[in-house]
Amino acid sequence: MMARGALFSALIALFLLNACAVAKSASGSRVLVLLDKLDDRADYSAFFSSLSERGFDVYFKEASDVSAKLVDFGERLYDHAILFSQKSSGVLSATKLVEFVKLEGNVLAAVGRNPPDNVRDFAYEFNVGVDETDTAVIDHFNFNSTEGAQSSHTTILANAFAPSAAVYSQSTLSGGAVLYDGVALKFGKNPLLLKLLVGSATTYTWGARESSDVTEQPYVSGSELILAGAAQTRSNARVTFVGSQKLFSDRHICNDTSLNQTTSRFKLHVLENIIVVDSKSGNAAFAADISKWTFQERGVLKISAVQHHKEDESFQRDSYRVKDHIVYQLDISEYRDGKWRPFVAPDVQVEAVMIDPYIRATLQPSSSAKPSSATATTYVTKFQLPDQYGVFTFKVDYRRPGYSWIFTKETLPVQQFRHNDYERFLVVASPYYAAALSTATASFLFMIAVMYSS
Amino acid sequence: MAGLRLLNLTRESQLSWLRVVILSGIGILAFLSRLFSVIRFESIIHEFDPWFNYRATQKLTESGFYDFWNWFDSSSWYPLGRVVGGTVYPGIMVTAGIIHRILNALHFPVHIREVCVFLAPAFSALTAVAAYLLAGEMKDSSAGLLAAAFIGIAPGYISRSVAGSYDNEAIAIFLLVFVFYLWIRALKLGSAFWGSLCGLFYFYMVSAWGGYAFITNLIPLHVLALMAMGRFSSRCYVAYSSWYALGTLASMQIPFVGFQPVRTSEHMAALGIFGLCQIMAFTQFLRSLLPARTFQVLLQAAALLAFGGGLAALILLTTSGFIAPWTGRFYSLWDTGYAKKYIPIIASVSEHQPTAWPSFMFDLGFLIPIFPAGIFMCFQELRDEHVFVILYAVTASYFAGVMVRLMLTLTPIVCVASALAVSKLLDVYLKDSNANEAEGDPSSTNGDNAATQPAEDDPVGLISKMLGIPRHYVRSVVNTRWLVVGSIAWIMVMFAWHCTWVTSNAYSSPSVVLASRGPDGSQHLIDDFREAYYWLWQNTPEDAKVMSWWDYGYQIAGMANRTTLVDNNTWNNTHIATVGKAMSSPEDKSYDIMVKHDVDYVLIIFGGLIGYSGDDINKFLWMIRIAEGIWPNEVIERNFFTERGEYRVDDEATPTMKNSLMYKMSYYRFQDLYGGQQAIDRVRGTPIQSSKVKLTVVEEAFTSENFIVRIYKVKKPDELGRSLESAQTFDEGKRRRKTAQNKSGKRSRKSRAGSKKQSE
Repeated sequence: MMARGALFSALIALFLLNACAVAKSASGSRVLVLLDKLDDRADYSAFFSSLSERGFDVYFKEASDVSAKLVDFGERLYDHAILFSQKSSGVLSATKLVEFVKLEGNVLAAVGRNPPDNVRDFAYEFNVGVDETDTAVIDHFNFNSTEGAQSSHTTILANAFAPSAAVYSQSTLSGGAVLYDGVALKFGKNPLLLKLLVGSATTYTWGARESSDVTEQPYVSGSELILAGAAQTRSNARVTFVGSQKLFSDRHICNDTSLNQTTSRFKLHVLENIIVVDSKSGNAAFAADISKWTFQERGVLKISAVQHHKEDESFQRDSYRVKDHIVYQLDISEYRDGKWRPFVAPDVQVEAVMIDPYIRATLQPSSSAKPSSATATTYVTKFQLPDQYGVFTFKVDYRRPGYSWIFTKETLPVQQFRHNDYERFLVVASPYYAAALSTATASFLFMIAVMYSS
Repeated sequence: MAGLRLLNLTRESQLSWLRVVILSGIGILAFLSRLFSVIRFESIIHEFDPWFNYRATQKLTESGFYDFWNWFDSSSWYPLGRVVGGTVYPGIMVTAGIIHRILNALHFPVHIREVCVFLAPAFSALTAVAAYLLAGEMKDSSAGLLAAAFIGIAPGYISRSVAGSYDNEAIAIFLLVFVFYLWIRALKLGSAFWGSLCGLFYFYMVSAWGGYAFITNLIPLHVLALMAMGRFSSRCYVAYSSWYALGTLASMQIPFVGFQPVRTSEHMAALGIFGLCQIMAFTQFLRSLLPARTFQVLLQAAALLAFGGGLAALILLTTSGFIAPWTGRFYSLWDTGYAKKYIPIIASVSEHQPTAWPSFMFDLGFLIPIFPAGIFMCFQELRDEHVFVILYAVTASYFAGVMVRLMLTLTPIVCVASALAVSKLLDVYLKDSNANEAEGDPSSTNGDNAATQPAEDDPVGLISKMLGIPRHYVRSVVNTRWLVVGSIAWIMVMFAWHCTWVTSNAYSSPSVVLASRGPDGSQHLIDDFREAYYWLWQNTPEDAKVMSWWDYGYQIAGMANRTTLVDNNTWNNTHIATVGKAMSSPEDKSYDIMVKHDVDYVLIIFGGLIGYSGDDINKFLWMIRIAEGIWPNEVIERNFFTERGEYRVDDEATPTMKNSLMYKMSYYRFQDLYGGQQAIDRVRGTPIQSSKVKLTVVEEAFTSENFIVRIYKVKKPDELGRSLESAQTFDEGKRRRKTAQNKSGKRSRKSRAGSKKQSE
């Protein structure tokens, strides 16, 4: 029994090592973990060791530690923060956390049934609501049956992943469901929010301890009930909220030798025990994916080498003329597995805007070989400027869920024709030329006739 | 005289030398009296439009003529841009550029600014010469000298031509007078040469000022009047045809004018008269060939046909849209209320308001009462050129009454007509002063008769009777001649005094720098504008876009070198209305507009602290009206007035007013100056709202010394996706979640069986 458990955990460790050993974040490797007590880290050892294996320098602090600082004199001391503390930290108040995020620090915040005030306040700033203390997410149809059929069904099985290739690896999406035991989150209006894991149709949130009936509309239910959600700020800092910090615990992630083997397995109950599936939890893969995403290890895009020029030229001008034919190109790379790689998407567009967009052209991934093609995809498009002078903004504004927001713009004057850009002699105007010349000649002859006739 | 005699000159050349000396004296005087502003302040470009002209001139001297001609100004009217070459009268810039080039070629290293500043005074000296010539054509050179002297110092003209007033009018008035002189000359001589010269200067005039339309209509009117008076002659035909043909063709070379001379109603009169001239000339030619009876029939038929055909063609072309109908600016000349109703943008300019009657006296002094006498004398002689003076006087008087700025076109003719009157008067009373007094002076002859039978109307007799002094005593002291001449001289001295005073006090302020006087009479300069523009120039990114009301657009471009949304070239009413809407809307709505137009900074003028009345709160109603013209459902003027129809800024102000961005930006942190006491707006003379003014979408970036210029920076959208108001509340250290919960009346868990909390 013991040997089998050890083997299993070694396998998991090996799996994590293989997947992420060389991967490092695009934005830095210093991680601060905030815990209630330093001893608690043992509960999440699998998760933290996976972070270390991925190359992060993990620092632990207690929530009550007054020296716990994320920002000092306007400089970030850490690149990422993990908030596992269930006690409110006076030092890392919501204000400090917002300051950290504004300095492009990434935060992974996981709460339990008793969410601390600082995280609540912090979540509120993103318009993310956290349900009240001592409530839990309940699902009477998808729950972990190893807790016993008569339990309150608060350890639920969730597999409604947001279908984002930027966040999840394929194996996670097709892998097992996630064991979830925690509070419900609810999204308000905020265009920067991203659902990562939501409840199934039968999921709702209600008091965890009381066994009373549901007497009113729950705080949130169904697919509106967010189990894990994220916000990506305008400067691409990522903040992920998870309603259950137990999700990261060794108990839920892997088969710890100290636990009964069956707890790492679960049975999927669909409609009152009709089907019983016995499979492994997807927590390890899920935790790895969302931490990778949050800490800018994947889904990170960048634009480089933005260029534009006239079709028959190769140098970039400060201004163009109306009706010029323009070639616009740029490179986009994606950070994945520790390297910048080409990023191919069919829907990158460039706009020429003067109050309203005059031109919207889809950029095509170019096949032409470029020295940078190992790390980036070159996108090219050609378009003709409109017959309208003005100051145009060439703008690429690419926002896709899960990917970092890439944006580039450049304002350029588009000038009118110069006085000598027009054709001097037009064939179609020859009747006019003839008329002018004949009139002039006739007048001249007439004058001579008048002067010398009398 | 003794000196001239030494030169062995004849009397004739003595006189012409004297004229030259006097005329140059007048020219120098005209130049010098316009230098108050340079001496008081400094050599600086004034007001608003001159700043654009100056910037354009800089562009011309730096990049050359063709780059100027094709200049696309991407830093104004962002993001529309402005094709300057095609929307500007380039005359003044080219003039200054040429002068600058000549001076530099002569190795006078003069900066282009100095050329621009002193261009208007220099041209006013030329105007004096042109007025001399014009009045000389009407009467004689003595009238000419008087006219030159009058126009040299008349405040109506000085108002637009002090040093630093680098505007189109600076050279246009000279051209106006000179074109008229050339026209009279061409008409008198019937010379194609003078007519062509007139056309040439007409071209210069068209290149310099939109007011050329006055010439375009006045000369045809003159010809029409001559026709009606039966004075149409071959001289008239030659002069008009050569002027019209050459002048019109030349004027069409200015891109801003383009095809207007053949396509707009304003120019149709000149075209019509040109056609009429041909018909008249042809009929005269026919008359010389045909017997009288046949001619009569032919004439009647032809006249009817020509008139009917011409009118029908005009109506047809206008309705079909080939000829543009009269523009709004034109209608506002006939109906002074028109602009206010339909084109608020025109009505919002103070110089487009109807003239208040005292300003006639203020700007023209004693010339205005004498001017009708000059016109009367024109009626007495009524040669062709006098008809011109009468027509000019009548039309210009009307226009000057309708619009303040057109006082400028009236001034030259007032000076000329008054010079005619005064010179006639002086002719009578000064003529042959060396000859026998008794024979030369009619009044003294009258006086001699009065010795035998005293006449009550004889001033000498009157005085002797009143004072009981014998007549000959009175006569020796009170010579009527010297009485009249003396009083005229006295009036003229007083006029010169008045002109100097007006120039010095009313027309020499650059308005970029303000001057105020302390209680002890000491002068205190208020230099807030330049301080703020300098700040913008030094502290903002070079491509920063500044939103302000259009009045300040040229100054921001000229002094701060930053991109503006709207400026004094009010060519796009919708864009101006957009700015008006941004200023008059609540913050969140304004923010959307500002973000859409990439605005980085907002600049407003606020005079409430030192009592500068030309500030944006006073102009605010125009912003609202102009915005309402485009978005009648979103900006409603009525909502800015209280129930009782008052425009207030204190606690009684309407919520719409208090929530408007302009109001908030004006009074933001104004209360702090008063340290907790009631803040008083010194322009409106009322306290302002007592609650604190909160701003969320913009933040204060700069406020000048006297609060006149306030610059706000538009905030970036919140990093976290909150509204800027929420972000600000959070940054102020308030816990928004708790506040929201308290507001929504959170029920505690205990009170509910199911333990649910309200959503936030």
